[in-house]
Amino acid sequence: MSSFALAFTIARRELRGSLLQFRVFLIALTLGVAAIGAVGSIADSMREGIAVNSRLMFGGDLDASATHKEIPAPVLAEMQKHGQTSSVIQMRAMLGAVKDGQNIRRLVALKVVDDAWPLIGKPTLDPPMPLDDALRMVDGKPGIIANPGLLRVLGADVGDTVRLGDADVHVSAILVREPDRGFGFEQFAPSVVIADDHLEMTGLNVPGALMTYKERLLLDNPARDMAILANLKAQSDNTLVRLRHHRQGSAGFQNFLNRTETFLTLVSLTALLIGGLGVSSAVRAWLTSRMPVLATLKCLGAPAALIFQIYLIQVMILTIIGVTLGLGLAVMTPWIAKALLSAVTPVPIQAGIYMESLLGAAGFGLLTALTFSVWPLGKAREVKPSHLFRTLITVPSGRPKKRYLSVIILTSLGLAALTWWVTTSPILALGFMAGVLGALLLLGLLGEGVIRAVKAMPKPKNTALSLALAAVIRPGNVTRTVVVTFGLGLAVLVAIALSEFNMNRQIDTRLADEAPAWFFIDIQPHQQQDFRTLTGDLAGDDNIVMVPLVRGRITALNGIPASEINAPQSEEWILRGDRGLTWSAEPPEGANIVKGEWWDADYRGPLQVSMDDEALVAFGLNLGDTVTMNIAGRELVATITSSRRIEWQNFGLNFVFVLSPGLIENAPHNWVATVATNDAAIEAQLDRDVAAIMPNVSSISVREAAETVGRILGLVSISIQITAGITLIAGFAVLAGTVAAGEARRIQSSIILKVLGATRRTILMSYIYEYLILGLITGVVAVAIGAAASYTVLSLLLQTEFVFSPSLAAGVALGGAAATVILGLIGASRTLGRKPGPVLRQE
Amino acid sequence: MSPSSSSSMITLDQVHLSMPSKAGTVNILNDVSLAIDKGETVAMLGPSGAGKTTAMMVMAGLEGITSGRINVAGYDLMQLDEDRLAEIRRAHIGIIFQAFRLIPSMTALENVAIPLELDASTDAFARAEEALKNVGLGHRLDHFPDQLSGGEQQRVAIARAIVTGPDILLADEPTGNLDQATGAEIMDLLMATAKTYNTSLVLITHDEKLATLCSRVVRIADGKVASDSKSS
Repeated sequence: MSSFALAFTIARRELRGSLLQFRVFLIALTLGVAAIGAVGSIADSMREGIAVNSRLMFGGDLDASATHKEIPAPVLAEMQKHGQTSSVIQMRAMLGAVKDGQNIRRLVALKVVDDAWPLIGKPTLDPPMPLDDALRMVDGKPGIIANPGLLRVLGADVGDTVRLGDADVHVSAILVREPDRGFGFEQFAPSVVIADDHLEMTGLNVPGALMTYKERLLLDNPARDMAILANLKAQSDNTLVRLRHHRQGSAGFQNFLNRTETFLTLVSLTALLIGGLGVSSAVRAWLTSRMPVLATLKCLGAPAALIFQIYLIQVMILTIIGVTLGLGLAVMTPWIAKALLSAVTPVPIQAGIYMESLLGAAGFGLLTALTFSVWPLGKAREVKPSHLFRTLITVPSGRPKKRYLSVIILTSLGLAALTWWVTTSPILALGFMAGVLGALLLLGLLGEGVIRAVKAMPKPKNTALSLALAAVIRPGNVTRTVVVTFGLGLAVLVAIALSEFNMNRQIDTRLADEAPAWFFIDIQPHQQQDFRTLTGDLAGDDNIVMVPLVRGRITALNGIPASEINAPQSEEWILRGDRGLTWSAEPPEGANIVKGEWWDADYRGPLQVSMDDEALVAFGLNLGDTVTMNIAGRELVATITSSRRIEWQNFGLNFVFVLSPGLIENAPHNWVATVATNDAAIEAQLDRDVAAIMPNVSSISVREAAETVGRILGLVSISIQITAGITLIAGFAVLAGTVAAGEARRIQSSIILKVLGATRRTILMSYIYEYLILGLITGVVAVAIGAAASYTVLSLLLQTEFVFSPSLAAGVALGGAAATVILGLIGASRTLGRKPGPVLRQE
Repeated sequence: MSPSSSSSMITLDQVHLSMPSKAGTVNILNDVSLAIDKGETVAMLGPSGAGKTTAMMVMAGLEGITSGRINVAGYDLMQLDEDRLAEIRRAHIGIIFQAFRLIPSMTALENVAIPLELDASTDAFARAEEALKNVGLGHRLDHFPDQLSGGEQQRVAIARAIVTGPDILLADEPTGNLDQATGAEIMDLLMATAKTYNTSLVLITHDEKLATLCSRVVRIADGKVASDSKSS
């Protein structure tokens, strides 16, 4: 029999009937692997959903889009050469109806379609009917199809007449499924579809209205997509046309998905690493119980290497079981996600088995188990067989041999490399590993500190308290394990709870104190004065902020074409597509000028621009550099003369670029306004009056917009909480395992105490004190680390205000302490009921 | 390394073993010299802490020494590393403990087969079964240690110690955990086994009566050989 075969045979015999002893090992590993595998699989199922449905949801293979103006004829002609095309106009509008005697209206994403729409797939209508029938005139009113949720809010139904712009329109059907609904959360408003022949009747296509013209192309030969796209780009050079491949349509959502996946994977990995500590203590406990066996094997002539092999094989068998169980759970999650999340995610979920993510999770599980078990395994092989002649045989203390330390370093590097692969960021991977190691080290030192502090304390007079303190510092105590494993899980929870608290607080505070009630958009230049008078009379002139808005695209920074700029990910959006630009003689109210000076109020010279300071730094620009923008087909070059710090969270009108007045005022533009009021009646009247007098003006309720954002953030938040919960459960499992591992020693102590006359109440109280002390210390430490992590993210990375919530922190700390006491007592209480007689007879 | 030719199966020559402790250096073995021939049965007597068990550990290559020489089955143990010492034990030494030291996760048969399996023996289980039958446990092959009585467990331990046909049997108070009657049975078995296989036996005991069963009695006190005599 080869050495490996013999090691395997003995390992199998050793594990026989012992699986239950490894429940913490298995739970910790299963949970961690399941969490990582689930996050990856769900993200993959969304990516696959995007890939499979990309052309359908984009509405074709390629599209050309332009704001304010139609697609130029040469581009159109070139597109028509390569396949079937369809013209669509997208714009915002208000849809109004009478509900319960009240006029109400809602912002909608209006899609104006031609006869060819949609090029791929078809809309699902309720009641089912041909699209042509749904969009034709009914009793002199244009037919529309609309989102079901929108109709519910408006109290309208199929067959009803509602108001769109200047026209009454007929609701022909509910738009149950819109084929080209696009990806991502950007479409905040529900869809309404109308035929292009009827747009004129609504009066919405006034000059200056923000209309996006799109020409979709379904290629005859999709294999030539990139060549045709390049050709079209050449044709559209120097125009404002934006050309996109269907794969680009999902770029924004994919970014969001990648970031969410990265974050959740890191939280899951924290759970797995906490589980790793459980793996380590489970392996140590197992080896401690097997020390006589190891020594006997050595005595019988087994070499140390064989001993290491035998127990490594056992760890690997258990790891394979744990990883397999974890993967078994993870593999089901795309189907569960499809059932639970399909209604709330903007992309179709393609349920399936995603091997890459599952293999990644398995790799994490395997490396974690190895990293955390090699140390005790390396030490166990050093057991002296001569100890068999003595009563107590323990795992030798100290560091294992260099070769085992090298294995630990290698597997840790493997974990970092796998984290790099998953997060695609070496800095993030190393930062995460360093952060976790730092936190573990800190918690380990604190655990040690607790033991030393208790040792230095004078003995209390209360017997139970005295026994509890003795338990905290006795050999084989659970102090370090509780502080480290439970502390880390709790710290993650505190960090997330405090971050959420701060973000919600900011939204709530700003909504209450600073946020305007309404955003009004698409105000035409000729309506500007009337709008100001109307709203000023109702809400007060001081509460109205109006700024002009032009659409333009940034084409170069300091002379370098935008397409050649490697933009930092956080600022990428500035160079993507059309941007809203404004001009102003005076600095915006509350502007915080960081660099340079604002131009004179009467300045009319060469174009200057004031830029967001964060973007200025991110793009490596300085005062005196230039920004080239294409506005309505004209290239304008502005010199950067100042930079501002913008508070994006204040719900105000913020612009990355504010231009100096002058030439720009002749560009096609409209106005946007914010109106603030704390009076609900005035708030409602503002919307009604603007709707009555200026039906083309769209209104957005800040409160409703915040709620929509809140709903999306809520989804992410729930995912984070679930993953953080798994981290805490891993901590619970490890704690429970640690308590269970110390059960024999605890039984022995409690029996001796009983023999010496201690009552069960005294022993119980000592257990309560012991875990309360540990729980409270762990809670306080977790609050400190969690608060530090939250402060770092909010204050240093996101540069927002961080407020510490004592009640939240106290709640988490006390909750943690209570959980520790309960778990500890559940484990320890089993020892209370043991009668001294039988136990003493066994000795 | 090949064995040297020597008439003694075990030779301890001026063996010293001292260990550091909080109270200073402790001399555990102090100039112990002893030679045990093939087939000789030796009882080691002495009070607790005298150094009997340590002397046995030294003979088994389980404990190093501070100075002196140890030769076992022709091998100079001082020259061998840990794994080579394990091989020597496997080939030449059987050890029996007071606390039996059976592997609880293995059946009686598997426990006895282990030394043979470690030696890559192809008929490990057949020989183990034979050894168990020889100690009267042919009907307990598939029982786990916790399903056996103390006496039966010690019989399994003896079967495990003799299954490789060792030159030396080291027994550390093998009857210490057993009642008198069972202890007597085990001693009879041990002595018979040593005689049958012409094995050198070193027996540690506190029992003067048991010591008389051996051909020679060595008394240890304070880490030294206090007396060494033929048994009457």
